[in-house]
Order: sequence, then C-alpha cells, then structure tokens
Amino acid sequence: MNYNPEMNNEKKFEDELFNSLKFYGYLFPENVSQIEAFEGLHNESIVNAPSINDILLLESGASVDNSINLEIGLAAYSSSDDTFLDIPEEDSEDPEKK
Amino acid sequence: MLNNSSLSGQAFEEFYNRFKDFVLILCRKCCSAFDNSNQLADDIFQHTFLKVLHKGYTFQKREVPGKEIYTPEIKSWLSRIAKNELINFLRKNPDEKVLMLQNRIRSQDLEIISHEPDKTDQEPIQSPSIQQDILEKGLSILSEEEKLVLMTYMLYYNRQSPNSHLPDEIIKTLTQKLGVKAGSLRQIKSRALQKIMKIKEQFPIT
Repeated sequence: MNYNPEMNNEKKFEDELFNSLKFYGYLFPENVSQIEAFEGLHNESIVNAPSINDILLLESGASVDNSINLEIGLAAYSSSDDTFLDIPEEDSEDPEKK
Repeated sequence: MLNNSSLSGQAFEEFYNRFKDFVLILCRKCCSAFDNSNQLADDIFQHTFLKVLHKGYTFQKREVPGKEIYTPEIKSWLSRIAKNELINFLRKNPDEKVLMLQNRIRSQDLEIISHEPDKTDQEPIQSPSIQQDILEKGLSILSEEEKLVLMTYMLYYNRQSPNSHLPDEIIKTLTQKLGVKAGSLRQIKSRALQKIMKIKEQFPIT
C-alpha cells in the first residue's frame, strides 16, 4: 500500500481549510470577478424563491401593501436603462389612512 | 452614490424580483457545507433582503464614465451582505445551529412554518483551526486561477467523502474557462493548498 505523508497532510489541511472557509463565510464570492466566475459555474435557472410578500410577512406580519414607506434608494437602480422608478405621490401616504 | 430617497414598495419589489434568483442560488451553494443547508440558506436569503430593505440606501457605487449597468457590482454587494449574515448567524450560534427565524418561509413550497429547533438533527459547528488573518493572507497570494479552482472544490467538498470529484458540468465549465485539462484541476488545487499551508506554517497559532 502506498503511503504518501505529504499527500496525507494535504488532505488533512484541505479539511481544516474547508472548515475555516465555511466558518468565516469565505465561500461567498466578494468582488465582481468572483461573482462573474460564480455565475459562470452556477448558472442554474430553476429556483423557487419566495415572493416579496413572504419576505415582508416574516418581518412584520404585514403584507407588502403596508410597507409602502420604505426608505430604500436602490430598487430600480439596476434596470437596464439605469433609471429610477418614479414614486407615485400616493405611495408616500399611509395606505391605511385612505 | 444613491440618494436616500423614499421609494415605493413597488421599487423594492422590482429590485427583489431582479436579484432573488441570484441570491438564492448563491446562498444555496455557499451554505451547502452546513447541515440543514437548505433551511440555513433560506434564512440567509431572507435576512439578506431584509437588510437591503432597511439599509439599501447605504449602497454606494463608484462612478465609471460611460458605464450604465452596475448589476455585477450590486450582486457583489448582495453577496457581501449574505456573507455577513452568515457570519452573524455563526457568531450568535457558536455551539449549535439554531435556525434564525422563529417563523420562517420554506422557499421550496412557500409553506409558512413555525420552526421549533430539532436538537436531533443539529451538530456543533467546529471552530476553525486556521486563524482568519492567516486565511486571508493565504488567499491573497493565490492567483485568480488557483483561487477559483480551490474555492470551487471547497464549494463541493464533502467531509464524508473528501476524495469525491467535482460534478462533470462544473469540470467542463472550469476547464473551458481556464483552458486546462481536467487532470490539471487537482494539480492547481494542490498548488493552492500548499501555498496556504506554507503561510500557516510561517504564522503558527499563538
């Protein structure tokens, strides 16, 4: 039986490294090139993400209709024409007061 | 830099719909090493978007003249949020895995469930034997190719079967991207491991 102590050390270290990467969250890609590489490898298209209502329901028990006064300046930012959505004036009001 | 303007729920919904698949795949892959990985991934996914909901205005972009689409930058930002959510979870649960949300959504079937931790299916999270600064130093000296190969192997690492191969489609994509033969991937991984091992030996645990 072949025994290669260096290889054995490497295997042991690989396990240590795996655990450390996992623990510190380094399995997540962090920059644009890593993101692009990740997407190139994992371009799966069939996933069952929850709806927006489900996400908001988790936090407050409220539906998305009650979250209209969100302080967020991001949502429409990434659209292909790089424009923001206009905010309908009525959206800034509490829908429950209507 | 984005304005801290008040936008509607419709705007957040559009943002959510645009990036939800990416974030869910990301969380599923990057949490796959944990037990209860799908549940953990779903929790990290949900917390990531809740963080965006409340802190989205903090997103800053570096203006690049002529550049109009910043989707990769936003994905990178989302990935960092997800990573921090995972780290926060591990900090709060150093000894055992207790899912983060009392009332949570299981994304596979959208069934709302009330979770009561089941002690029987949880295992302690092993403390890392490589210090974070040494790990960062080790990763920083790897070439892009070495880092990509190593991290891909790590995403598919199985402690019960450490010699298992990467999935065929991943090998195919990697070899095409890097222009190497399939047999070279293990050599590249081994080279990367050796480099990080050397860094660790230079900085023994104090």
